Amino acid sequence: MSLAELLPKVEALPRGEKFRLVRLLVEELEKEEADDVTKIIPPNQSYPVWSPFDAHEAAAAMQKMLDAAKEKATL
Amino acid sequence: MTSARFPYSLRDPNAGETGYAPLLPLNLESNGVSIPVSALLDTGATVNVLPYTLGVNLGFVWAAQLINAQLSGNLASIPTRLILLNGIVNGFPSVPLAFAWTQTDNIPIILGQVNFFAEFDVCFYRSQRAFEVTPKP
Repeated sequence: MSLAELLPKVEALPRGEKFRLVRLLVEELEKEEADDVTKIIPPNQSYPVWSPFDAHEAAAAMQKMLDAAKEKATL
Repeated sequence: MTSARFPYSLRDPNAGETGYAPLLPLNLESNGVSIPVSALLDTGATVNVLPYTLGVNLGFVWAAQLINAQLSGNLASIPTRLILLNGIVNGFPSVPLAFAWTQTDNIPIILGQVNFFAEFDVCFYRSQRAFEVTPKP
């Protein structure tokens, strides 16, 4: 059934049922969107993140090593 | 040439568009050995990270590396030592790169803030599945 065929019937609905129709459509659209997301990121799975985030002590030690190597190279 | 443009690589064919990632081809050199690799540009990584076997193939001996390091996240529990080697990107001059050498092969080569992003400026054009790398001025 096309929207053009459906519209007159929707317009004929009582006010309360129009609001109910709007809620049903929003719920349906939200569910479809959630389904799309779960295709990209399936739930109940672990996704390891290997990035060494905030590894500041390691970074400082590495920078010290780089600076020492640079100094040695310029001697 | 002052900068080089690279395409994103498809890491996971099953993941569709989200499977693309900025993997940089470069040569890692040390101890007279040069190995071409593909490394993940990770701006969220504080440091560069090297998987274990690659370090061995570059001539490093675990017991001879004296500087231990503590990483974070999923790498926090894995023994790690610091090494220094050279990296060559796209024929640009060789640069010294420090790496956190970890005792696992379950990770990609990660290029992070210390010190890859200190040596190179990178622009990401994700919508075009491309990125550009320029040696620091």
